Amino acid sequence: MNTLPQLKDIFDKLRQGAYITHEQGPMHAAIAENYEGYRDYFEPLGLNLMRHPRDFFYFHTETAEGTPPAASLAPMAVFCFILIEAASNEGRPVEEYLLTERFTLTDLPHLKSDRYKAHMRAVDVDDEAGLRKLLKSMATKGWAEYNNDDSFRFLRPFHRLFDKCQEISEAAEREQREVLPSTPMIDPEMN
Amino acid sequence: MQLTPKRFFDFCASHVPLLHAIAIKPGDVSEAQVRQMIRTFSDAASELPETTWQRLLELQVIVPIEEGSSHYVMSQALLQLLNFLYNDALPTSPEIIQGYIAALESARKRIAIGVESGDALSVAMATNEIDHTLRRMQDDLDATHRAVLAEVARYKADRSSVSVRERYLRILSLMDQYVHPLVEIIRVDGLLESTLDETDMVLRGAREQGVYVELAMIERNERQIRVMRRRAIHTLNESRKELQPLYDVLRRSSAIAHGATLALGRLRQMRIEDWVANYVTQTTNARIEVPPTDEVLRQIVDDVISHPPIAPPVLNTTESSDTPPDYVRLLWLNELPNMLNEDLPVKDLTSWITGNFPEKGTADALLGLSKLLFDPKLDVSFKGGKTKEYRTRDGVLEASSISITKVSPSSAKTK
Repeated sequence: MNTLPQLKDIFDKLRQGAYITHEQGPMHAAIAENYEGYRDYFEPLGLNLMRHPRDFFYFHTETAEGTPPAASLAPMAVFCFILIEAASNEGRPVEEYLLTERFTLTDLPHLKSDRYKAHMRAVDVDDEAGLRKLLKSMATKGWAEYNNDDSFRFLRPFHRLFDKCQEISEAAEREQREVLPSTPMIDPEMN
Repeated sequence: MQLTPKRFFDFCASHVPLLHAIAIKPGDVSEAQVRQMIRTFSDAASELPETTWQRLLELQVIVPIEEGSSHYVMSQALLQLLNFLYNDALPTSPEIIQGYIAALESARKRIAIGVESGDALSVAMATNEIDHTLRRMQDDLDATHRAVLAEVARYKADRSSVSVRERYLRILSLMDQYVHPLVEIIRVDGLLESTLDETDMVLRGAREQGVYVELAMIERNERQIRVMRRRAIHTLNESRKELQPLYDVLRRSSAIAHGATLALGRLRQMRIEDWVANYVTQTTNARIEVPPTDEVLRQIVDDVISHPPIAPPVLNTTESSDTPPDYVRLLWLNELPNMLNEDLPVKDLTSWITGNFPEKGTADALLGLSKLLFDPKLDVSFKGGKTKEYRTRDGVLEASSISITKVSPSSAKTK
């Protein structure tokens, strides 16, 4: 008989492709307390329980590596990229701002400039109702916390998107360096 | 009117906001701009604007950029004082520090030559120069540190709409253009250290050989060299410590913004499936087959338990008097070659079948013919010639004669 607490609830949450963060109090506490126990339990099932450095958990399957992400994720990604770009253009510290501010639907930049509107249209979102639906699906995935008054805030799993952006940027810089081998590299290890 | 320190400082004390406004104005300022600043920052009730303007000129707070020009700059000495008072400073470029090192090297050579030739005057002048150079060098390094601190403070306090990229470039510029190259120069095995070592040696030589009698100056230089060694690297390391966290945060922020912009830029250049494959984070797609839940399993078990029983099918094992017609036909077909064997040779096989088995229908007669024709043990030959008619129970067969004369030789041998 397995003694891992909250096992059923944890599995039900993770198997939907969602994240377990501090917001899922008892579940998060249980898994954080005995991460290795849960990881070893799920491993024979082909489910890798991952712990992000920012202290949230998610499943990663080897089969998922070979298959492209679902196209339904495209609107979420575009939504987030726009918000990141807009925050950066306003001179805000991107990570701190996006993870500490509470946003409202009407203040979002997505439908306020032609360029952003075009990006959103490319993923079939062209009005507030579409944005609302998108936010609700992000809330289901554990990316955001959505309230009925159309306000929301991002949760820790948003760091995965930051990681992805950094990865894209680094890949682009690598490509550029290959084209221009004389470009000096920035030394990140200054100390 | 004579310029006295008291008058100068009294004026400065009563016009601090005005002086600061002029000091932070980049480049030169026109007379009109200065008069506007006077109206903005000075108290017209206690002093007329025209009087303030005249005092600025008399006290040389501002000086024309050239004779007769109506454009002015703040005098350099006052600007330095204000920078010091406001803890504001410009970072020192590595080139300037390298210039100081070159000056030290030049002074060192002159001391060495002076000691060798017993020229006390050149030694004295070179020693004095070393003193000034070391002081200016330390001041500039301190200024770099203050500039770094000011930039860090500005970054933390300033939430204005300067893009992350721009802030990153500012910090990056401080780090990569000033602090990092300076550390390279000032580090233990760097250019400065070897110059200081050599300067220290010639100063010691001057003292020991008694060429230069003013030992206090030599000793001061030696002290300054020791301080410089200790403080220079410390000051720059402190600057680096201040910058490094911001550098890291901004580097990541800048990369995040850069990545997001790149991804958005390519959204409309690629098929959405390709875009998703390249730019969307993978893990949320960790699809997992939904296993049956406890509820489903319970339902299935309940269904099995509560399913109404059905009796198993009963097989009829008793023999019936009626033999199935297909079975009768099969027995007949199997026995047919043996029956034919008894009548061999048979000149007309069709006639033999229809004659011996008149109760058989056309279908059975044809089955029988096929069975015999393809029997490997029989030697069959088609005669050809005129067709004949053969009556069956339910029809007529029309065929040429087929004869079977004997058992085939190959089968006979195997027998």
